[in-house]
Amino acid sequence: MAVNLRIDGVTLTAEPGTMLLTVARAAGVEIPTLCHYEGLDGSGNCRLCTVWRADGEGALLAACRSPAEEGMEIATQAEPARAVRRGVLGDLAAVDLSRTPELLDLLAEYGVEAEVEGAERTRQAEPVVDNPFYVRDYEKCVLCWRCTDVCGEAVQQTFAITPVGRGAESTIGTYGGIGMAESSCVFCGNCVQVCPTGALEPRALWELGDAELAAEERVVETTCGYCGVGCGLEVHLRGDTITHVTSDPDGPVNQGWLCVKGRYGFEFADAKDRLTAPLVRDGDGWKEVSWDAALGLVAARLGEIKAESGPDALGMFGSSKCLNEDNYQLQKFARAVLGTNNVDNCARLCHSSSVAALGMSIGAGAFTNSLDEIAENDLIWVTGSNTTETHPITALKIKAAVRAGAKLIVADPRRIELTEFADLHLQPRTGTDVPLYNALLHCLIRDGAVDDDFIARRVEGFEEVKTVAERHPPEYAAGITGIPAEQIERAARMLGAAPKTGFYWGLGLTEHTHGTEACLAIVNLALATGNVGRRGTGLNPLRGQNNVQGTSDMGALPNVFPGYRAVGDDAVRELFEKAWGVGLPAEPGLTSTDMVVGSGRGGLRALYVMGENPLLSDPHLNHTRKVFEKLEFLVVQDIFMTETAAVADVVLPATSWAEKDGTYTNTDRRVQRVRPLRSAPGLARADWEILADLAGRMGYRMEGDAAAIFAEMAGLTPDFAGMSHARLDAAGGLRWPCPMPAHPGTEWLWGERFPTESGRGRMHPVDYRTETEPPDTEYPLIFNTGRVLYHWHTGSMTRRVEGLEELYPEALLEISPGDAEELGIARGAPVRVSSRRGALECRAWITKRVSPGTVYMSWHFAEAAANLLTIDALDPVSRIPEYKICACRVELLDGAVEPNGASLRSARA
Amino acid sequence: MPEVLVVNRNLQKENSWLLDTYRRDGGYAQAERAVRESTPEEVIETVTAADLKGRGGAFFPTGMKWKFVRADSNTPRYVVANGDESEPGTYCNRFLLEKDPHGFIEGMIIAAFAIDAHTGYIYIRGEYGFAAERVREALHECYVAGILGEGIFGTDYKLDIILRRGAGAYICGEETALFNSLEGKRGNPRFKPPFPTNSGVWSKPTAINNIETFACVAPILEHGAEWFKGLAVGKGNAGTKVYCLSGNVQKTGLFELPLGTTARELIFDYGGGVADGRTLKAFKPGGASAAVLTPDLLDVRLDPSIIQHETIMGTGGCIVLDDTVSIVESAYRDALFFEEESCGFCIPCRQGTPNLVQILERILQGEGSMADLDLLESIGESMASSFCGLGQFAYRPVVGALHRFRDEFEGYIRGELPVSA
Repeated sequence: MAVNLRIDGVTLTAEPGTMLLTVARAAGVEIPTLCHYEGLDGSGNCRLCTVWRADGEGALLAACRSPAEEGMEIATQAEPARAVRRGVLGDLAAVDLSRTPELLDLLAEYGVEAEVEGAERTRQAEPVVDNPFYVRDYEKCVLCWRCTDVCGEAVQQTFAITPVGRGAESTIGTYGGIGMAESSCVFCGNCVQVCPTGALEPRALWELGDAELAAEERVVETTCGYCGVGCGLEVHLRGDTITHVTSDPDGPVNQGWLCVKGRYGFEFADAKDRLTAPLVRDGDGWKEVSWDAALGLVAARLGEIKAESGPDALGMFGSSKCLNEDNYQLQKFARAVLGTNNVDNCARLCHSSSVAALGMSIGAGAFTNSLDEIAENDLIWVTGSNTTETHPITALKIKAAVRAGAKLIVADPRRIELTEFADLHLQPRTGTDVPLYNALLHCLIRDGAVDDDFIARRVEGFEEVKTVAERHPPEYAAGITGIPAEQIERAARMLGAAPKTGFYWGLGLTEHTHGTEACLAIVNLALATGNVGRRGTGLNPLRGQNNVQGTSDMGALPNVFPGYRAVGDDAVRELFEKAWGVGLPAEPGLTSTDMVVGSGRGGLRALYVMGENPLLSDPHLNHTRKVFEKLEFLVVQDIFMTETAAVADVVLPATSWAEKDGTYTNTDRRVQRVRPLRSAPGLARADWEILADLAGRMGYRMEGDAAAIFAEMAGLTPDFAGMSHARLDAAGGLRWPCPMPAHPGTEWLWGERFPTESGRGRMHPVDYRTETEPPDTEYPLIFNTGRVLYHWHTGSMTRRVEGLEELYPEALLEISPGDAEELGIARGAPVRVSSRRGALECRAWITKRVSPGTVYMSWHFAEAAANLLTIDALDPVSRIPEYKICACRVELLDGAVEPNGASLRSARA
Repeated sequence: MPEVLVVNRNLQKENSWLLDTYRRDGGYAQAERAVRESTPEEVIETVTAADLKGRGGAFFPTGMKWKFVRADSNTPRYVVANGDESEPGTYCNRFLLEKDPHGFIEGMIIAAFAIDAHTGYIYIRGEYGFAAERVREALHECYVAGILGEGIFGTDYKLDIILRRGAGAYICGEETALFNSLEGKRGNPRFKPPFPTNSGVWSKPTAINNIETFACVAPILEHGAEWFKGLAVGKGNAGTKVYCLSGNVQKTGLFELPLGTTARELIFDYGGGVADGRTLKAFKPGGASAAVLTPDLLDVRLDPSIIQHETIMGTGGCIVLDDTVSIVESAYRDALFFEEESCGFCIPCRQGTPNLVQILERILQGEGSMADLDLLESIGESMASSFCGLGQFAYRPVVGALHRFRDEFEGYIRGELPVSA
């Protein structure tokens, strides 16, 4: 029941438990605050919001933390309260408030004289500049503790900084006074964002001269270009120079919190080696040419090959880093201009198994629920995802849910950071997911803990799956997975007991030759327990790249048009033929892996690659390179001279995230605007614009800007029919399906029926298959690959950000202490890692993160490219390569190298 | 008049700290009877009827506190003994910890049973090394004897009690700061509400009581609520209080007396009056946090009602100041203590405590002004909104002294009193 109270003589009503500050602000009564920050726990320590409670005996209350009560009489400007504020402000007078004009105004209002600017530093001799991204100047610190709250339990749970000392001597510091780079800091900069006085300041802003500082600041709202979480950014510029990045605390995706890449990883866009002019191969070198010359050449060569060998001798790669508009344009170009379905994107290399499995079972391959619903999960199931490093903001949501009481199970062969927050860490031998999930289902069926009603109403194929599950008692699975049977039992009990479970997975599940089966196994579990098609549950693949969801949604796939409609479906094809005014091929095209990795159906003569870098990202690089070298004609459209561009015939300069105007779709299907910060460098052009120009030269007109391209797509794709750039600008992002302009978008899917033929979810019996290349005496270790927090994919962006390079400059081999000892490898020792396909040299990071018998590397580093070793064996259904397992050998290299502190610092054991 | 020995009944016994000694005279019989024969509700009812109030100085009704904890369905619940006795002039807990640890442990067991807790913590200040050793040994004796651990007293009720040590911070006696410290965090206070009865250790419902409060529990169960209430004098009081007498008085030490005994009785009847033939100038009734009172107030009762005289009962640490004492210097010493002990969490206390010190230094050095006296008052007004009790009380000894001895402050300012070093 609501309570009635009076604030400054005005009668107000409030929900019980609402803080006085909230009530007052909603009523337009301004109360000054300092330590208060929405979304934090709030220390309540500044006392600036003190108000006077006039009823009863009278009392001073901190408005931020005192709940409204029936009959309260609050005077915000009563003298006792003003006296407190005067005192607090007086205590701040000695602090350097030069970066905080609103506090200086407040001092003036309360008649407190502030210390003159340029006064002697009394609290700290010099600002601390000990890391690439922010400066700590405690001369400006008012000890509001927002930063320690963010770094601590309230948000990040990193605990890099803490209040130290006591009384008037207290300050903020690291544990033991070590530098930030040596601390547990993950450089998310969320502390910098909440600092009210500039005591924590972005280094790029701090380094600006007075003249630059005086220049007018522009702020552009856009969407982050790194991972699939899709955080909202506010990019601050002076002229064309990005000074820093913040995020709107009211933003729907990330509530203002960012990670190190999102907040500090923008420098690449200004890199001196950005491509600024079209390049054509000239012997061993390059020749800068006009757009006219470059596109003329491309049009001619593609036309020739098509004329000689037919359209299927051509292929195109879309890009998960590019816009929806770019990718829509690209698949349209492939189908309508070239006349081939040989079009694919790098989702093939990450979540194609998820898309295939979800398509086969529940009819659609996307996040069934939303990131917001993590807060509603009773049990969070994370598998094959090092979430804190690859989707840091999703990890924050998981940590917050766990803090609020949700249970967390992490199934991962590595002891990743999230396991520290987990109620249970299941540590399977790499690639043994299928028996694990079958055994869980075994226990649930045995214990009568499956959702019989859901199965009866909405599932088919249960009996066949049950037969398989019956053959998988936990003791049997324990033998294969290495997980103790009692842990499997415990996980099953938790799963059976949780009213709402959300399943979240990454590439640890998908990147196997049995990736589709592993995904089907987890789908079986969700269907059996009724954890899909319901709020607060879901089958949620954590998509990797900023627009990997959108790129597939847009039909940059060999078998479907935009909206996942089969190219073989005559009615659909007719729709597009009519819209595009040209006949379209009905036969599905080649996947990217079949175009490159396998010999496939052969005959591919020319390839057009937009914004991808297969010569670092594809498996078995030595083979991939041979295939690329055999191509008669290779066009690469990119922002840098990547490893792939370097072997191209023509290189076309495109726009980066900083210059793009369009949309990305994040991992939970939310379509969001991307806005240009400034014009493109040199002659670089938008990806969609290059394709339109080229189409014109090949006799096909592609008209309109990004907004028009989006409108065309929305007009042809019912799931997007309610969206337009204008509406996205106004609404701030919409989740598909959004079938009409008044539709609010869809948070969670399939509440009534699944989009399958029968409307039911289909279970598929799956059984264990071993990896293609198990370890043996010659190559005794399992080689596993993935990513790290500080870098992104093939590094073309992050390795051009000086600060990220400083924090994580080199590839490291994660090896367990036991294996290292056996091989005589010390911390930081140089090693040679080899497989049957290739070898590399790097240094060793001895860590318990990996289990004995397994080593792990990230694939960001061209100079020690993990994909030289990986195997190009493919999943028969999804055509994903088995990145996560092959056999390798590790040897100590002669000539011990002094450990380079920088990288091993980042690689904290 | 003899003392009324309830809490301190065992202190004079030979080997008083040993379990055998404690049990010989009926020790743990009340805990055993409660666990084996009573219901938690009965225990809470008796403690409530006895009107036992928190001896740490807040005098919150103990039975009500336990009832609130029990009413919260959140589990597990915890019981905590606050042994962070740090108030200057206060040492009653120390003697209980060192000489009769089983007395309060029995009270804790009864409290744990009453709130259905299975874990208890004893938090002892870092400086009390010997006390902690004695408690550690006592806990060990209890585990060996089946008084703690799985299935205590032969029942299926399980209780563990864990000893935790402070590291030398006055603030950690504040209950929420104690929880932080106990959890391994920095010892700064937490916002209330939620109160410890709903969110204490590990954010779970917690009954936290002073050592002396726990020591009252077994006698209450043994002799009954009416007996306990009859021990005190003065309105609304029940039981005894262990007063700690210090300063320039003939007999310093612990005096367990009816709660509500007057200052005159304590200082003159029990303490034998001011020592060295001096006369009484002032007294502080409740440790450093309490403002001084003048001799005309000697007949006030040393109980919570003393608050009407602009001071507090506090921990019952009564400090006697004779006519040679400079009140301004005395206030300065108090201010120094709170400057040292302010945790630095909230602005009014962090900045207010050193500001008080600076002004008092100025005045003592003969460099003060009359405006400084207004400044002391206004700092007090600001500190009244401090985050926790430390800051909300830290200015009161200074401002209280100013109110009762303004002449003396002005004397320093006018240069009539000798400048202090």
